[in-house]
Amino acid sequence: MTKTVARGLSLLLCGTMLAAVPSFAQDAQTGGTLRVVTYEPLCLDQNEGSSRNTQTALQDVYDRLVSEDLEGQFHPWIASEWSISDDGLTYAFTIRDGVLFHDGTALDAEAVRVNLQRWVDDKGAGGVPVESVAVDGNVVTVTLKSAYSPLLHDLSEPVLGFVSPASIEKYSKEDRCTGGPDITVGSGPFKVVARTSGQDLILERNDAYAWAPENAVHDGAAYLDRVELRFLTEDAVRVGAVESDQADIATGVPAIAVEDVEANANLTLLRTEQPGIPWSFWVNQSKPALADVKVREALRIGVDYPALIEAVFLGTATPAYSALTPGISFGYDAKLEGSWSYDPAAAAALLDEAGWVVGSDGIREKDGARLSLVSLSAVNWNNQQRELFAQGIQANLQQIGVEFTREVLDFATVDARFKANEYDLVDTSQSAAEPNLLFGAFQSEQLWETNTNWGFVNDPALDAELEAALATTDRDERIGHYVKAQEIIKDNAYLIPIANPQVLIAVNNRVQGVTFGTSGQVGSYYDVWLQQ
Amino acid sequence: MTNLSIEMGGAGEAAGRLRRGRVPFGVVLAGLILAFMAVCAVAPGFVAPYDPYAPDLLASLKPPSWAHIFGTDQLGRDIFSRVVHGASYSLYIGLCATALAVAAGIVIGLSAGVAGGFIDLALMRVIDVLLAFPGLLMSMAVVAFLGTGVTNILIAIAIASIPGYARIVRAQVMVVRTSGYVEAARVLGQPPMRTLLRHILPNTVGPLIVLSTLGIGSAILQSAALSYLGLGPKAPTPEWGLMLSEGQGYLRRGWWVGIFPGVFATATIISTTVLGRYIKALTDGRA
Amino acid sequence: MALAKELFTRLLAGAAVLWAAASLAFIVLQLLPSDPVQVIYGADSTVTPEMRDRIRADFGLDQPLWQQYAGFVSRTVTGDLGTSYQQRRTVVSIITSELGSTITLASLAVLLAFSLAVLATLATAGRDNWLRRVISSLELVSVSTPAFWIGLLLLTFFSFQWPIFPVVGDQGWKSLVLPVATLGIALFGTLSQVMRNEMDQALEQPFALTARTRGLSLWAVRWRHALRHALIPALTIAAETFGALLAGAIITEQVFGRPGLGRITLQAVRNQDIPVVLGVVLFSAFVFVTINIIVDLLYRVVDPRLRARA
Repeated sequence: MTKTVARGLSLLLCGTMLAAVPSFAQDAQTGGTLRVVTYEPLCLDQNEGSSRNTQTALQDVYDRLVSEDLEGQFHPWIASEWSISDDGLTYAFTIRDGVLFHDGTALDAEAVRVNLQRWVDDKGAGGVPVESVAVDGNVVTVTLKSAYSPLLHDLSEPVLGFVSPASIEKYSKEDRCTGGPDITVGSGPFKVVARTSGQDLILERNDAYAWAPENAVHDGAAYLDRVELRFLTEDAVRVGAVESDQADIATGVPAIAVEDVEANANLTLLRTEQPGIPWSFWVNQSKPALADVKVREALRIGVDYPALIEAVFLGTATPAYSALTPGISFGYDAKLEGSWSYDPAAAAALLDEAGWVVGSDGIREKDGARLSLVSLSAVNWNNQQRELFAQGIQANLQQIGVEFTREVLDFATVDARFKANEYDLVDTSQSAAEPNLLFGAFQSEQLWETNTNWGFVNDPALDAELEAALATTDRDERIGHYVKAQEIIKDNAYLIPIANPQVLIAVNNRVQGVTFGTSGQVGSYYDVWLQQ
Repeated sequence: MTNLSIEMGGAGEAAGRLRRGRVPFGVVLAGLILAFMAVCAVAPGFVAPYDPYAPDLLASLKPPSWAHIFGTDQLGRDIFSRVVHGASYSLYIGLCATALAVAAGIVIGLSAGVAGGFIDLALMRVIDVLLAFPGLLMSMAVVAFLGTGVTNILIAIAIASIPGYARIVRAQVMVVRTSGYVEAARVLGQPPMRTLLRHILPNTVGPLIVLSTLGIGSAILQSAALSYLGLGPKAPTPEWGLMLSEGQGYLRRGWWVGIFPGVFATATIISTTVLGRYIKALTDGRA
Repeated sequence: MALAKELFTRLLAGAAVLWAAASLAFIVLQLLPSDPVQVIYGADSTVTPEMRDRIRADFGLDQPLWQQYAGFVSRTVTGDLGTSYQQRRTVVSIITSELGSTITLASLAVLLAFSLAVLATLATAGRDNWLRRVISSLELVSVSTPAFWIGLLLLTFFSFQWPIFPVVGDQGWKSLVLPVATLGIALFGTLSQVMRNEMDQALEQPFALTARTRGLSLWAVRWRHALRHALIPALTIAAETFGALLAGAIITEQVFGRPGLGRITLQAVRNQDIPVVLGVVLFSAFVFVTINIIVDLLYRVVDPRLRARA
């Protein structure tokens, strides 16, 4: 009896809501399988190996302490509330009651501590100056050695999703990397039910889910019954799969297919500016040739980046002049736009000045060394456009007497090459909402072992700006520091930005509620539903 | 595919027309095509109107026209020029891999055939084992060890085709050995080494050379396949197989990017096969 | 009795070939310049010496060479082909999970190629006319054209120009049509050439003439008598056909983005995942040997002359 009344009431409430919000054409429907074709994650335990692919695939399996929205605001999730001390050194998180991992164990304060401690021990907390992690009742306290303003952002990132401590104890690193049901155990709205390396990852709804982040659209269990992530490396193959209705969502739509997807009445193309560091060359300054700022500048003006962008990206990228993309949540310095332009004669003159003279085969030489540069990229950083673009760069550089080769290798090999310092350039982009990315990429101590200063940039003035930006929580002050940092990077050509990429996703029209996450990846599938 | 499939059949046709006493039109055409490819390979600059590597971003992805008879790719490079430059890779790999394989085949086949006994048995068993694997899989397995690149796929293709040649050489040696004149030489007291060089080798190598002209076609086919699979040279090398795999992304927007490299590759392989079969028929007719 | 004896000899010879193949594979493994642990973990700096030892022990790399060899051979005999470096799954489970898709593709392609070849043979054997010239040119094109180019042409016309068939995928019969056509066309040329050559010869033999004088039409002779002769060499190249199928599957699966044995082979080669590469090689050797034995036995069924001789 009471049940009927309750249902009647909720129907009534829905009715009022519909009337109040006419843009909601329909109620969300429960059920169905969402078929996604995407890239494969590196490793299913993000603490062991992580990439945006991994995080995107697993963001619905693992829950985090707090949730960040696209405006950069933080909302309670596994932490029901938190407080930050005035000196910015102590963060106290109150852990929500009743949260369970998929294996039935509790996600309590102790489980949070185990996960955070593992992040500190194994990954050096990704550069966060963590002093200690402590538990008292249902409160987890993180104490820092020095102020670190983006801590909440870092804790909201998918990479810090909580893994069941029971699974960490029970399975080896290798097993957790391969993953599978009972091994890849989180507390999120979806749980892993099947995993085939190189092929797919099948997720099923976690019916017990009752701890959605406060900023989610709905409460309770997810709408979808199942999410099937199939891994297809070929761009054209992924697009073909959504076009022939063998998939509902395809990530990484190549530029060449944009027109076709837009012309397809069953598909919608979602696009957003990728926040973070543009697709750029990190320049290895431990190599004598590249230690010379004149050579670095020549690489910047010796390639017709804007024309290549137009021909290759076909409107899905813009020329980049800063170390941050316009899509970053704050701190982008638009003044830098147009700071340089293509000038092969000036580039050649710079190289002449630097003492590099054209040799018999057209490649410049100095003291018996050829100006031959190798750029490294990893398979998961690469795509069809970048491959083609690099051929254009190679041809342009050839004109000014620079030999350029680009090697795309699997990540383990790239890592080995970093270790052996066998590279001149690294080309990749980095995505995150937080301008603090610059710290990891340019601060003098963030070398390849822990972070991404592959260029061996060591500039006290730059370090000072990057560190000062961490010490304050005042947004305007932080913006000021990051603007200065971008200027220093531009003036010294520490980074050669190539293009500001867009993130492109093709979605079947029956799929509702697809959003982008804070770092430009496909957002959570928790609020997504299928029109039946 | 494999040597066998190209060698098989067709000889009868050519022989039939041969009796009528004129060189068939198809063979003339094949010869002309191969001559053109040879010019492309040796002096590509003579044939190609543009630099195969230089982008022309204003002419991105243009369909075939008088300025670019095969059209342009997304970087505005002239497809015809790229295809012409690609001839050298295919011919180089085809010829060198076949030469290597024939040389190794002669050494192995001769050793087995001449030595006889246990060595023969052991070598032939190894050959049997190697023949058990499809050529492409063999080449791929070799690439898995050596890594990718032009030289490595050349070696891989050579290794995969050694067993076929070795077996043919050995069979020839057996035939020659039991023939009268070798026996006679032996009776006359000639040292075995001399018999080998004077009588067995020339009689064995002749037919092998004929067969190897057919082998070149399948070596070119293999090299294009390996490059297509991403195991050969790297972009922006204008290798046909690689260009085909790059062109696959443009089938809808610019069919010419992927179609023309395939036309050149296919024309070359068919021409080698036609010519090889003709030569084989010619020599068979004489024998 | 004679049959049993011959079967036994054939099995023994087959086993010897497989043993040799496995030994060869083992030698190749030993010649591998890099440390397997390195291949397994790349340059992961967190691999401690203790972990390294444990991994070596897991893969049996700490035992003396002869023991490793004995272990390798005995495992291979029991059908254990080792564990993939990359996927951490057994090679056997990788192969079996991918095999189904490849078998579907391959058997349909063989069916197509064989039907085309029989038609071509019946229509052209023993004649010299325009049709024969057309068909033998088609055969030439079929054996000489790279399969991936055929695939691309089919895609251009039947998926892009006229969107009849899907571009990629492995779902539904529609996504099978173009891959089967690609692989079938590549096979057709070989089969057809061999069968027609045999049929030509068979038609010149006395029995064909006798049959004609008994009043059978030329078509009936071809259909009833000569085709049977043409089938024997088709059997002979069955093993080669298998090789061509596997090679063709690698290409076809790549062109059409299909899952299967070819795809995992290519993936393993690219990642230098040696256990998987060797596993596929050994598996194909096994199939090759098995096919050869079956073919030898089938000869007796198809060709009565061989039965009489035995």
